[in-house]
Amino acid sequence: MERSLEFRGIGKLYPGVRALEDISFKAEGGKVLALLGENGAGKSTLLKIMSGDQRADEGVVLLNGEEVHFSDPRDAIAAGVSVIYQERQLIPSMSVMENMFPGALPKTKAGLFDRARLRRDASEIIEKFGLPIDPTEQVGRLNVAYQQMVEIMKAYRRDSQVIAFDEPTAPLTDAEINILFEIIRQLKAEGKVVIYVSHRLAEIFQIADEIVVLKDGCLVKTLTTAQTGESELIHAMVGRDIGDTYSQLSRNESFGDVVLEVKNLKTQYVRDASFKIRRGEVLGFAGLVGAGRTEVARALFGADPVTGGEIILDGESVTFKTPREAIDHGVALCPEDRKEQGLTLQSSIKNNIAMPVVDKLGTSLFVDRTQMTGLADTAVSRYSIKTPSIDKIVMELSGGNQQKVILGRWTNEKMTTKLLILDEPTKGIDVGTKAEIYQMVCDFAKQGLAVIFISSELTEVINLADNIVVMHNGHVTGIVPRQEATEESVLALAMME
Amino acid sequence: MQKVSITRRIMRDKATPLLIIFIVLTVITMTISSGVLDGKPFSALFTDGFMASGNLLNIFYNLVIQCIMMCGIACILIGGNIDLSVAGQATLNAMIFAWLCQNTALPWPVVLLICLALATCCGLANTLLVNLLKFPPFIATIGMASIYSGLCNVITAGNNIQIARASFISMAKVTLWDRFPATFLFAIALVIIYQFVLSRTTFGRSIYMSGGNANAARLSGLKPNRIRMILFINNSILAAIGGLLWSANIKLASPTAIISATPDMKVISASILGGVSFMGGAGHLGGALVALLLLNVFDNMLTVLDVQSYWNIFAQGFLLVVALIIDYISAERRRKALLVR
Repeated sequence: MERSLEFRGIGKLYPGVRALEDISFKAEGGKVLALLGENGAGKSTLLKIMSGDQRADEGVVLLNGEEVHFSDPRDAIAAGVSVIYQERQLIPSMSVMENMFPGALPKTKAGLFDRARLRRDASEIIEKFGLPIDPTEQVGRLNVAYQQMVEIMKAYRRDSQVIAFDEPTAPLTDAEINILFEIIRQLKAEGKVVIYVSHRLAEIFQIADEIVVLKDGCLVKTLTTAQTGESELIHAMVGRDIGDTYSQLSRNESFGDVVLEVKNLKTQYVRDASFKIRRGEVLGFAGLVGAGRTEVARALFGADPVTGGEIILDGESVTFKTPREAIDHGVALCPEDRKEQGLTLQSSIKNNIAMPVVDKLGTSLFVDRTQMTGLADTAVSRYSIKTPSIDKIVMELSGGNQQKVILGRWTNEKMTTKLLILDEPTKGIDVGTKAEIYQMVCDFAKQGLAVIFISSELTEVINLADNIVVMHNGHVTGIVPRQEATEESVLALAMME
Repeated sequence: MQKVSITRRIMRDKATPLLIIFIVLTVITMTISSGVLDGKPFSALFTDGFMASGNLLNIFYNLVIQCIMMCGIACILIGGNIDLSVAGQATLNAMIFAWLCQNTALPWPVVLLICLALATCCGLANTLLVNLLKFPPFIATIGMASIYSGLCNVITAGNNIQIARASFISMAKVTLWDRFPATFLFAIALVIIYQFVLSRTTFGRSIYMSGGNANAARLSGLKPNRIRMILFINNSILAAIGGLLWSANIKLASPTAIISATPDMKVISASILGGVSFMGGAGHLGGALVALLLLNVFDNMLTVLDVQSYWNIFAQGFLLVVALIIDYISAERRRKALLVR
């Protein structure tokens, strides 16, 4: 019988938000169906409903034509539906083989745990995948790519009929992505239903047969890969063309005095960095991962100790021992890792925005709550943060809105920010919000802020920044003005081949 | 395919250095206590030194109760939870046991069964707070500990109760080879059985899984809540047995003796020192047992050295903090392994 997974009229309500509305489509066996949409479009919710982690409020799920009701992940697994989540669901302290067979460990005739058989079974699958992994090795000791493979093998060995991947390539290198795609093609050849969620359009064209586009919890379009193109997809996702996002930006044209000059900066990771930035300028930082861009930012913000060189801020030589000193001198950092370093996730929007200025609100002892609310309200309306209330917990916001909260923190009227450092501000953020953030960066520059914009997306840096600092292996290898920058020239400097 | 050799596994195990420290410490304690350094003959070791039967038996009697409690607590820790109400539960059960023996004519095995039923209820109470009301286990069990210890004092207005069943006491104090407590064999057997369950049964492995990553375990179809319930009840029953043996040793049930001796803290310290992760998902009873032996010999060494007994408490706390730091660092490393390349 033909395998298939069908959604019929699925709807899901969260308190105050409609997460999904009337979603209907059918994924067939032997095909890869890509689920595409901006952050917050409802992809994750749909996956959760599929895996039995959450229940739909409306509609039904049909597996091989029969209605199924999963109330628990156990039900979904038993029915042959596996979801491989973005956050790996592994147990780091346990062996690879046990991680592949959780909840299904083999037993001996006496009813005991059969380690030998587990090892045989696991080795068999690992060999089939052609991976150099020892089944008895602790998962926590594997690198991220292999951990991801363990996760896939776990789904594979369950003999799942439906396997869904949630952004599986995020932590993988190109070579590893090829292995993954090989595996996905194998699953497809075996007639399994494969559902593939990703932000990366290039990948979708490589692997998917059909594409379902979601937006704001609704199904916008169902497309066949062979009959569509990148621009049509983006158009469907965003609801407009963003092909010429960059040309539509209203940029700052007039630069002021030099705000920051860095001469031969050295830290534990940075070998030699020199550059200048003027008021109203957007200075891009390009380079490969590990080139030392984040480390320059951390040194400027007083988060890493400086071991050599000079930082001159507004004509004055400074050394910040703590971020507090940097903040008091008008330096702000939106760190690379939003969730770990940027926000207190369990706290409200209001609290997150007021965090660095809470001692400036009201009298010395008591916080002025009205002022605090005012700051948050301004930020929410100015940056159109999508939220029902400023008391909402930041964790419940989408990535783009979280990033806006951080921006709201550093640019409110209580701050005296003159240098704003954005480290990968668009990482994991959907196309539509990205365009908004680009315009915000330009607006900051217009207000006279000096903005350092660090990004691994080359297109973004060369199109947004006025000047681009390229780093390689802890050194600044070149500073290129936007007019002269091409992806090739910048990449050549970044690789220094 | 690269295989992790057994030697490498042993080298990696946190219990290995402990075992070495234990042996060294034992030798030092023996040497000092024998008085060889002061010119006494070596045989003094067996008459009034470390190996003197009084000293050894004392260690063994303590170890019996600690081993029993450890089987419960270590499993709870591996499962990613904690129970700080062990001493309180042990005391409550001992008091109820003694009270029933004194005020009813029930034969002690019946009273014992009543106590075990009570222990099951205590375990269920902890489970209820954590599973249904979603209290962090730490807070829930601290609260319960206080309730139990309060109850014990209320029952007897703070007084001790004699254990009015000589047959129970003599059973708990059966000795082998002259003076050696038979219960020690029971305790060791228990440790072996529990480790066997932990490493050789699928249930045991699922304890590690739900402790190592409860969410992953749930999404893989395991039932962390059910596992937690079993662990809490198991722990409560072992705590009760520990409490009853304790009372049998001193022939009375005291509302304060066990709690003030903090055997539970010692057992938690030993478990963590021995490589059982405070964050769950890792460790084995072998390591915990070695650490427990180490702590007891260390105690004894301080006594033999005539160190003021308050230092003993200090040293115990110090060791626990060190163990926690080591555990934190290695758990952090595991957590990071899941995050960054």
